[in-house]
Order: sequence, then C-alpha cells, then structure tokens
Amino acid sequence: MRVLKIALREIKENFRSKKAMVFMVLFPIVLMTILGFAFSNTFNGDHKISNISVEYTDNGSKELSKGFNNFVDSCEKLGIRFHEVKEIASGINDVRNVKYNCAGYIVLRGNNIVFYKNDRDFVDTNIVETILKTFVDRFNVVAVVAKENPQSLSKINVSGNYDFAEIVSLNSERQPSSYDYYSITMLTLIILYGSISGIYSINSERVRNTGNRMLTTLAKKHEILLGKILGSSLSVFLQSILVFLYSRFILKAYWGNDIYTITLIIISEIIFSISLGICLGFLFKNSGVASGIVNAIIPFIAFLGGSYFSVDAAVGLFKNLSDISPIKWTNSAILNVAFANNYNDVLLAIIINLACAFVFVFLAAYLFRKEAF
Amino acid sequence: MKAVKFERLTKRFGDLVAIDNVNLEIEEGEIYGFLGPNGAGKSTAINIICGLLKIDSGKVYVMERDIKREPDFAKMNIGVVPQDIAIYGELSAYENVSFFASLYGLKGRELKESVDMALEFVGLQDKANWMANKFSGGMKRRLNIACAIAHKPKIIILDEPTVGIDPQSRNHILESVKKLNEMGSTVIYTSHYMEEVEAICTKISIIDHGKIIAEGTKEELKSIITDTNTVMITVTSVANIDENKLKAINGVKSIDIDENTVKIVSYRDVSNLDKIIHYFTSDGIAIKNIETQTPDLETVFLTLTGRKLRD
Ligand SMILES: Nc1ncnc2c1ncn2[C@@H]1O[C@H](COP(=O)(O)OP(=O)(O)OP(=O)(O)O)[C@@H](O)[C@H]1O
Ligand SMILES: [Mg+2]
Repeated sequence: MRVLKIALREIKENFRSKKAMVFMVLFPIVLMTILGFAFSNTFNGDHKISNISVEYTDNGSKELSKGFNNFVDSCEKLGIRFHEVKEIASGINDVRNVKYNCAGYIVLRGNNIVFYKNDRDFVDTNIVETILKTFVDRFNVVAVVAKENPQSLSKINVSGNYDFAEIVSLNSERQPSSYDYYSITMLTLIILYGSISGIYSINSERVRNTGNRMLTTLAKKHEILLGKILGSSLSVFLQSILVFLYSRFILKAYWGNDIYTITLIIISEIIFSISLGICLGFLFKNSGVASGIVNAIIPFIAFLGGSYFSVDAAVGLFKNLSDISPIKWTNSAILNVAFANNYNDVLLAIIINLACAFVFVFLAAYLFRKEAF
Repeated sequence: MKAVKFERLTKRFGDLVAIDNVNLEIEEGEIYGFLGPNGAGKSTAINIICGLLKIDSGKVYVMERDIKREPDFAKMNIGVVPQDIAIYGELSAYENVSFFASLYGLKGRELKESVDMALEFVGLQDKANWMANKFSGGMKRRLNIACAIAHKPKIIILDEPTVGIDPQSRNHILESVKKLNEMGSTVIYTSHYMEEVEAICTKISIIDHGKIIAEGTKEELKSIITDTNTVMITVTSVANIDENKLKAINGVKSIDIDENTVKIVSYRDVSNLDKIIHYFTSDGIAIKNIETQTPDLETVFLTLTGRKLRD
C-alpha cells in the first residue's frame, strides 16, 4: 500500500515536471522524426528474395539427400539460389567473410543437418533458417514414420513440393524503413536515458530532505526502494507509450505483429535503466556526478548498440564491442521480432536486462542500509 | 508520563562525539527547549528520537517505550518538523500533507479531515491547491509544520522552525506551537533565538558539545549564574541622594553612583523596586529613566560556555 503511494507520488511528479516530459517524450519524438527523415534514402525498404543465396555441401544419407534435393528445388522456385561447395572449410569461410551475398551454409552429414549462419544480415539469414527448420521438422516426421510404419510412408508426400512460400512471405514482408528503425532505436535509447530519472528520483529526496521525512513515518526502507523503482519505471513506461503512439500513428512506423513481446522487452529495459539510475543515485551523493557519468557513457553504448545505424553487419572488434552493449540485445530482439518474426534474442535480451537490474537493485539496497538518505 | 527519556545516550560520527552520554527526561505536556550553538548536537538528538539515526549506546524511550524495540510506536507518536524544509515542490500543499499522512496509514475520510485540519492549523487552508514551489519561505515553513501534525502525534518536535522567515510568519508559528501544546501535545523545540525559547518554553536545556550543561525553567537557569538584579535609575541630579537610606531598603546589596545614574544591585528573591522608586519620589528627586538589568539566557549561555549562541 505504502509502496503504491510512493510510486504514485513519483509518477505525479514526473508528469508535472516539464523538464522530464521534454526530455523523455519530446526529445525522442524529435530525434526519430529527424533521423527518420534524414536517412530515408539509405534504408532499403524492399527486400528481394531473389538476392538470397545459400551454399551447401551434401554428405548426407540417401534419404536426407533426396529430401534435401526436393527442398532445394522448392526454394529455387522462390528465388533462393543454392551453390554446392565441395570443401566444408571453404563454405564456412564464405559465410564468415561474406565473399558474395551468402546468407548461410548448410552441411548435410549422415542424417544430420548443420546450418552455419551469416549473422550480419538477419533478414536473409532468418528466412533461410526458418524454412530450413520447417524442412527438418518435416523430414524428421517422415523418418520416424518410415521406421515405425513403412507401409504408410507412401501416403505422406515425401518428395512433393513443400509449401515454403507462405513462410517466406511472412519473413520477407518488410525490411525496416528509416522511420521504423529510428522509432525503435530512439525509444530504446531514451529509455536508457531514463536512468537519469532513477538518479533524480533518489537524489531529489536527498536534496529536498523528503527522503528523511519519509523515514520518520511508518514507511520502511524496502517500501521506499520498491516504491521508487515502481514509480520511476511506470513513469518511463507511460512516457514510452506516448513516444510509441507518436511513432506508430504519426510517423506510421511499423512495430510488427507482436506488440506484446516487444512490450515485454521494453519493460525489461526500463527496469534495467531505472535500477541502474537508482543504484547510481545511492552511490553518488551528487546527482551532477551521477548523471554526468550516464551522459558520458550512453552515447557510446548507444552507438555500439545500433541506436544510430544498424550494427547487424558489424565484424571483428566492433562486433565484439557491440555485443557487450546492453542496448544492442534489446534493439536486436525488438527488430527481429518486428521484422523477421524471429524470437531468438528475446529471452537473452530480457535476461540480460533483468539480471543487470537485479545486481543494481541489490547494490542500491545495500547502500541504503546505512542511516538515513 | 515521560514523553521522551534518554538514558546515557551516546552518538558518534567517526571521531566526533555528537551526543555524549546524555541523560534527559521530558515530561508530557511540556514545551521543552533545546538551546545550543551550531553543532551542539540538537539536530542529532532529534534525529535519534525520530529514528533517523542509529543509537551507538544508551537507550531512548518515547512514551516510556524503548524506540529500538518498538520503532513504529515511537514514530506514530512523533511528528517531526525538520530543520531543513522537507516538502515536494511539484506537489500542492494538500498533496504534500496528504502524502506524508498516508504513510502513517491514514486513509479515506479520516485522511481528508486530518489534512484539512493540519492546513487550517497553519493557516494555509485557502492555499491548499497551490504548488508548494510557489510558496514564500514563511509559507513553506508552515507547510513543513502541517506535514508533521496531520497524523495527530502526541509529541511534536520542531527543529529551528523559524529560521529565515518574516516576523509575521514567525509569530504565527510561535502561536501555533503554543496552541499545539494547549491542545495536549508535548513540544520539543530547538532554536538559536533566545527570545523564542524564553517566550514559549516551559523547560529548557542548554546543550553544548553534545552535553547538557544546564537544565531547568528559565528562572532556574538565570539564577544559576546570578542571584542579583540590577536597576539603573537616571535622575536630573544626584546631589540630594542619601545612600544610607537606599541601602536600608530591604534586599539592596550595593549602590553605585556614576554621573546622573544610580546603579542599585538587589538580591533576586526580594522584590523591592516599588520601595526604591518610592524613595526617589518622596525625596523629590526627579526620575528621568529606569532600566532594569536581568540576565537573559544569552548571558546565561555566555557565562556557562564562554561562547555566544550565534557567531
Ligand atoms: N551525518 C553526519 N555525519 C558526520 N557528522 C555529523 C553528521 N550530522 C551531524 N554531524 C556533526 O555532529 C555535530 C552536531 O551536529 P547537529 O546537527 O546535531 O548540531 P545542531 O546543534 O543541530 O547545530 P545547528 O544549530 O547548526 O543545527 C556537528 O559537529 C556536526 O558536524
Ligand atoms: Mg540543527
């Protein structure tokens, strides 16, 4: 109950503060509009499936080879080109170095299929990966049936055309436009800046002496801490909704078909940012120092995390750096869900965000254990 | 009933002993003043009573219950007006009082009535919907008080509630404090302002370097440093004054004549001013001015500590 009171007061204050609203709502709206407009030509909206090419090496069993050849035929009708390579090493190498536009490399070995992903072009690679998975599922069913009940095998169309067209269209429907891209990355960027809300949330209690006054009431420290996290997180969440609505209905940005999963990822990022801010608020008595640190670090994290341009094609050191940027996982998870129907990064992004948040909250609670504010 | 009691209370900040082995008893119904210079330990003592600071050693009781064992009981019975204004600028006066009162568990109609009562008490009822950051310094001080009394505590602690405000707000606050006391609250009041403490406190302790160096009513405190009163009478001419007649008046200790002023020192426990004046008028000596010199708490403080209250 007291937690809610504290949270509610926090939200009220945030929404009344012009500074906070300008920073958390107006700022990202302006940024996504400007960046979206400025880069609208450099983003390629149409994605031609005929550009996708895949390499493979066939050392598979007779059945697998047969099934795979049917699969290849179906795919080539869709416009995906397959090139057979003899040496496994050279296939892997081609994928790694993107010698030409190669979305992946498939190796058939006995009854196994290994897929080497080119993780630089997530749309192409995801299309191939998804239809390959479908093939594998179908093939496994057929294999099991053949083993258990050979007679009924003829009833199942092993050699027929697979209907991959549907899957492919699902995946290749869109490539983000500049407005789509910056709507997502500016929202996640401003949420990262939301950590300043967390810093302020603690520091203002100290400056105004209201934190100590709360402690003279029946409010307990854990109630205050929880109320602060909840209040600041909800504030940023509500502000994010405003930004989202603008991007969705004014900029007409595309957010995919699964807004619930995206909301979950966003919430985990909000909790990450607020916990970071609250932890810094306890760590530094001076909010100037704390927000200075945040302001200095976020541009790097954002740059590495793909806030300003896609880092999907990053290689080498830059890729390694970008992988440790927490916002990269959030961005990539949202982009993949919205544009590739790919959920691979979702859990990872949420876990990274919440695990960091947990550490920050734990540290904040430890620092708050001392007397007063 | 003892409203507050310290038993050998000690509080340290690193090497600094802010409260040094203090024993103290504050009776219910008192307006109790803590008088002391900057850094004496007044705020520290108060922050311990209201649970903000931990006790290093000793015990503190509120309404005769140990605050360490029953912190919520103590907190429920205490309303503290902190030295530094503690209100939310972006909240209205009403919302400020309501927020803190709700943290004491008040809700619904009781909450609303208590908030209205508290705002009315400090004279801010018609500004209830003003944002606090639009308030003047004096109004903020009054709101600071309202936030401490809505939950109707038995003990109200005010830590320098009149710092930096206009005389009108100051009088309002002093009147409020007296009224709170008349309504049954025990008041603990700290101040640098001697006049305030003299005017409203029923009992005073003088604190310095974390120790209570004197305690009592203001009369008791004054009598610690001196047992005499001094009257200075300025006349048109001292030629006709009969020192022996003056000395014969009951209680007069010594006479000192300097130009046109007669300085008469009397024992405090005798009131003889009427007789002294009678002597002058009956002997036909015209009085131009009378000045009495009673030691004020400032002098008491100076005598006890060798320091002024405010530098
Ligand atoms: N949190 C703290 N950490 C370290 N030292 C402190 C702390 N709080 C107070 N002190 C020190 O303890 C001593 C007593 O401080 P306190 O605030 O109780 O004085 P005070 O009598 O209220 O003075 P003032 O009239 O200026 O308000 C001072 O020397 C002060 O510097
Ligand atoms: Mg003080």
